[in-house]
Amino acid sequence: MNIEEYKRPEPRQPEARLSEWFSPAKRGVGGWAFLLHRFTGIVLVLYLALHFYVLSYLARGPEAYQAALNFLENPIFVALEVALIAAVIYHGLNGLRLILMAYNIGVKHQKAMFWVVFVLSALTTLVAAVYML
Amino acid sequence: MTGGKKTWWWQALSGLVLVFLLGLHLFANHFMAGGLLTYDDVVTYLSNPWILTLEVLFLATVIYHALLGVRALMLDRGISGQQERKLTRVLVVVGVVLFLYGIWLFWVILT
Amino acid sequence: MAEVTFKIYRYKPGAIDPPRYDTFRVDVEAHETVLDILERLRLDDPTLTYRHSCHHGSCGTCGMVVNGKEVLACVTRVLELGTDTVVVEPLHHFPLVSDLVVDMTPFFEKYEPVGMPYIRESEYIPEGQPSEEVGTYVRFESCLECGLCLSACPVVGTDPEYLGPAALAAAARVVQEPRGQDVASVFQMVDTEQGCWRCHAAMECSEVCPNDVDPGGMIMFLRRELLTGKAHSGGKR
Repeated sequence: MNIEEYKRPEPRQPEARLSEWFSPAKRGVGGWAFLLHRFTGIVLVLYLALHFYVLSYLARGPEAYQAALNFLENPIFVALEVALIAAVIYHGLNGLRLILMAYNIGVKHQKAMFWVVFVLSALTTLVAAVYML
Repeated sequence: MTGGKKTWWWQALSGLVLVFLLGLHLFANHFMAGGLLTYDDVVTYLSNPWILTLEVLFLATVIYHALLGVRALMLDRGISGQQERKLTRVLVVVGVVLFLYGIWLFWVILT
Repeated sequence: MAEVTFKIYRYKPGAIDPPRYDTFRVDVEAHETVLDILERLRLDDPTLTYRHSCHHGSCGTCGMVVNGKEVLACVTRVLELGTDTVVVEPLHHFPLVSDLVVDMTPFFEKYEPVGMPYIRESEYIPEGQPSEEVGTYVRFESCLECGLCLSACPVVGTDPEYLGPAALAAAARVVQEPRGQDVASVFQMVDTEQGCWRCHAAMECSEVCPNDVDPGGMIMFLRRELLTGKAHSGGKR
C-alpha cells in the first residue's frame, strides 16, 4: 500500500458506563463514600415515591389505611425499615462531611471523617434496630 | 450566584435543613404520636398546627432535595445544555405536582 | 528473580477487535518495572504498542492501568505489586488508539484553556538564599499531564462534559499563584455545573496522582474560594 493511501483507523471512543458509580473494584475510601452516598440517595428517592404511595391510602378512609398498615407489619418490611434508617443516617452524615469538605475543612482527613460517619451510622442503626425489633 | 454554585449551595442547605426536619418528622411520628398506627391518630396528629407546619415544610424540603439529587445524577450522565434546561423544567413540574399532592392529602385528612 | 504472568490488553481498530488479553510468562528481576517488561516483550512482538518517554516518572507519558489501578508504568516495580499475575490495561475514559495507547486529546482540550503557567515558586528550599538576579527559586509545576486522574474519576467516566480533576487542579494553581494569569476568567471557567461543582469528592484522582498534585483537594479549595466569596476579590495570593 502506498503511504499516501494509508488512513489511520479511528480510535475507539470510550463508553459511558453508569455501573462505574457502583463498581466495588479498586476503590479508595473516598470512592466508597461516593458509592454509598449515591446508592443511598437513589434508595431514598425510591422510598420517597413509595412513601407517597402508601400515604395515599389515607385518602381512601380509615379502613384502607388500616389494611395498608397491617400489610406493612410483615417482618420483611420491618427489616427493610431498618435498612432505610441506615441509608438515611449515612446519607445525612456523609452529606455533612461533603459540606465540610467543600468549605475546605478536613479534606486532608476525609478518610478518617468517612470512618466516623460510617461508625456513627452503624451504631445509630443498631440502636434503631434494637428499638424497632 | 452562578448556575453550578447555586444548585450545589441549595442542595447543601436543603440537606442541612432536612437533617433537622427529618429528625423532627421521625421524632414526632414515632415518639410523640406513637407511630400513627390508626387513622384517628393521624387526624389528631395533623390537627396540631405546629405539626402541620413541620410536615408541610418537610414535604417541600424533601421533594426539593430529592429532585435536585435526581438532577445531579442526570448531569453526571453528561447531558447537553438544552437537555439540561428541559430536564429542569420537567423536574419543576414533578416537584410542584408532588407538593400539591401532599397538600391535598393533608386537606383530605383534616376535612 | 521470580516468574510472573503478564496479561496485556490488546486492541487494534479493525485488526484486534474485539479486544483480547495476551498472556506472557516473564522472569522478572527485583529492579524491573512494568515499562521494562513491556519493552522486553516488544522485542518478540513488535506490534505491542504503548507510550513512554523519560523512564523516570517525570514526563507522564506511560500512564496505564496495572492490576486495576492507574500508575506510571516506568516507576512501578513488578515484584512490588506482589501478585503472580499482572494485568496491564490502557487508561479508562480515553479514546483507545491501539493496545495501551490512548488518545490524550480530551485531556488537553480541557487542560490547556486554563493556561496554568508551568513554573511555580519552589517550596522545597526554604532555607535557600537566592541571589538578587534569581529573585525566588522556581520549579516546574507538579502536574505531569499523565491523565491518571481522569482515568480514575467516576464522574469523568459517565460525563464527557465534566472539566475533570486535572484542569480543575490547574485552575486552582492559577488562583494560588497567578503569575500574571487572569484569575477572574479562570474562576468563571470553573464555577459552572460541569466545572468544580460536578465533583462528588470520591477523591480517586488524589489516590492515583503520581506527583501529589491532589486534584481532589484542589477542587475543594476552589469550592471554598467560590463559597466564601474570595473569588470576587480576585482570589488570594
